[in-house]
Amino acid sequence: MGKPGIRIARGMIYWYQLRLLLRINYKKSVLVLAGESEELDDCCILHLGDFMRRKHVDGAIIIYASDREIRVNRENGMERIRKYRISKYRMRLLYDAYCFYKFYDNIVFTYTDTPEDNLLGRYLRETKVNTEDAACLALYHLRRVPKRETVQEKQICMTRNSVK
Amino acid sequence: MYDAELRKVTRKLRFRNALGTLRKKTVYLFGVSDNTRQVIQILRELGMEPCNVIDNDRTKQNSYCARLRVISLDEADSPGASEKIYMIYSTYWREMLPQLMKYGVKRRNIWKLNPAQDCLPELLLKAYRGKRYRERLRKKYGDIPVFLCPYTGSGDIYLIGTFWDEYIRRNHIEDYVFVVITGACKKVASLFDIKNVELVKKKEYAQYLIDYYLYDPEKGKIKLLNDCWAQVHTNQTEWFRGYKGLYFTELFRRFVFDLPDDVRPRHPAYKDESECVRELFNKYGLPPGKTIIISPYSNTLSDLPEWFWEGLVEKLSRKGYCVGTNSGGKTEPAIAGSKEIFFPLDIAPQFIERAGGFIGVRSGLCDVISGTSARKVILYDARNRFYMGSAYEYFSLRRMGLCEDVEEIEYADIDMGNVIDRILRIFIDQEDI
Repeated sequence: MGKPGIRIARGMIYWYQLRLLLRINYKKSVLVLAGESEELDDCCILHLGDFMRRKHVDGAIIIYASDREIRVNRENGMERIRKYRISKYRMRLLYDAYCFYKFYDNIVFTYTDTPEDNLLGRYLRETKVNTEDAACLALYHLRRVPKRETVQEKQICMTRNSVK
Repeated sequence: MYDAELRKVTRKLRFRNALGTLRKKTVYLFGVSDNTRQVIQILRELGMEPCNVIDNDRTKQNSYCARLRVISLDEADSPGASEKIYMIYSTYWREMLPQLMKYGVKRRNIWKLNPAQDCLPELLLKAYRGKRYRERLRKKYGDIPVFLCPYTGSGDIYLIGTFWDEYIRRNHIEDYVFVVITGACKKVASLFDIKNVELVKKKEYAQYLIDYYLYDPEKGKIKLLNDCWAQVHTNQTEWFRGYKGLYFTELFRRFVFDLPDDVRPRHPAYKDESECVRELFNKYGLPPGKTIIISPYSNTLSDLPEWFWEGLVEKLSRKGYCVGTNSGGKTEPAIAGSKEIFFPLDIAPQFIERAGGFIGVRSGLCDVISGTSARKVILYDARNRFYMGSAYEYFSLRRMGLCEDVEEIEYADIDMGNVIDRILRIFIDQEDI
C-alpha cells in the first residue's frame, strides 16, 4: 500500500473511532468546520437546522478544530446538537480519507479549496455567489437559500453579504 | 448510470417482472433525473408503461419526463394503496423514503434501485483497475496529459470542442489523450481537430480512472472536462448551475478551461461529406431543402407528448414538407406520419444543412447542428428547471453564443395550437422570402 493508501487507512480508522465515540448513525448529521472561512462556517451553523430537516435526522454533531467559540442557537429543532473538538491534523486525516471514500452521506466538510478539484473557493472569490449560497446550495444541497426569521440571524446574513 | 449499473438495474427489474411482482401494479418513478429516464426506458423495454413521475419540486410538476407527466404526491390517487409501486434511483434515497412513507406508502412498495454503495475494499479495487488503465494509456500514447469526458452528453463534447483550440493554444499543450465513453461522443469530437480520441472499451473505465485519481491525485492525474462531476464528491457546486448568471457556456469557459470572458465558442469547419449525405437522402427519399428533421427525444430535459408531435407532423406534411424523425433505436420510434431517420453525429451538421429545417426539444443534437444555416426551431418547456435556472436560461443556444439565427420557443402550457402555428409561421415565412 502506497503513501496515499496509508493516509486513507489512518483516516478511516479515525472515522470508525469517532463513530463509536460519538454514536454516529443515520439519525444524525455531522458538520466538520474546516476553519478556512469563518464566514462560511458561521453560515453552515446558521443553516444546520435546515440541513437536519432535509435529511430527516433528529440530531447533529459539529466537529471543529479552532479555538473559536462555536455558538449554536438551540431552538427550532437545534436542541440535539453536540460539539466536539479535534486537532487540525486529525481533521485533515479524516478529510483525506473522505476525499477518496465517501464514508458517510450525512457529513459536510467546509473546506473551500482542498483538494484541487474543489472549486467552492473560486466560486466565492470570482462570482456573485456568497457564503450563504455556498452553505445552502453547495454544501447542504437545500435547492434554495431559506429566508432567515429572527432579527439576529438576519443581521448575521446582512453583515456577511456586505463583507462580500 | 454506467453500463454495469444499468445491467444490474435491468436484471433486477427483469427478475421481479418474471416473478410477477409487477403484474397489475401501477408504477411511479420518484424524482426527475437522467437515471429516472433510463429506468423508464428499461421498463418500456420490458413491456411496462409507468403511470407518472413524481417530484415534490413544484417547478418540475406538470412538465414531462420521458413522455410521462410529472406530478406531485398529492395528485397521486391513494398513494398508500398496495398496488402502487414507487421506484427510486437517486443518491438522495435516504431523504426520499420518509417523504413517501409520510403519505402512507409502505416500505415494501418502495423499490430502491440504486446498487449498494461500494465498500472501501471494492473502491480500492476500482482504483487499482484505474491505475492499470492509466498505465495502458501511458504505454499507448506516452506520458502526456489525459482529458476525460465521463458522460454521454454529445452537447457537452461539442461545447468543449468550440473552446478546445483556444485552450490548447493558451496552455501550450502539444500532445494529449482525449478519453470519451461512447461512440457518439467520439463522432462529435471528430468534428473538431481533437487528436488521440480514445473510446473506452467499457464505460466503467472512466469511473476507474477517476477512482485512481481520487486515490492518488499525483500519479493518477487527469483533467475532468466538466464543471462538477458527482463522483468527485468534494466538489459539490452543481447547485450553482443556473444561479446568479452561472450558465452552461460560462461555467465551461471559466471553471473547466480557465478562459477569460471575451473568448467566444467557435464552430468547426465542416468537412465535405456531400456524397455520404446525398446517399442517405436517396436512401430515405428526402427532398433537399424541403425536409424537416424533428428531434422529439431528450436525455436531459423534458420532452413533449406524442400527440403534439403528431399534430405538428400532420400540418407540416400538408404544407408540402417531408418530415423525418431523428431516431436512435426502438425506444425512440418515428412519430406517426414521419419517416424514421438515422444519421451519424459526425455528419449531422451537413445532413441538416441539406435538409433545410430542424425542429427539436433541446438536446445535445441541437448543439451539434447549431452552426448550420438550416432553419432551426428549439423547444423548451418553461417549467423545466435545470438546477437553479430554467432550462431555457441555462441551455439557450443564443445565450451560449452558438447560434444567432435559431428560433427558441419557450412554451408554458401544452397549447398545441399556438406552438404549432408559431412553428408553421417560421417555415412558411421562409418560403415567402
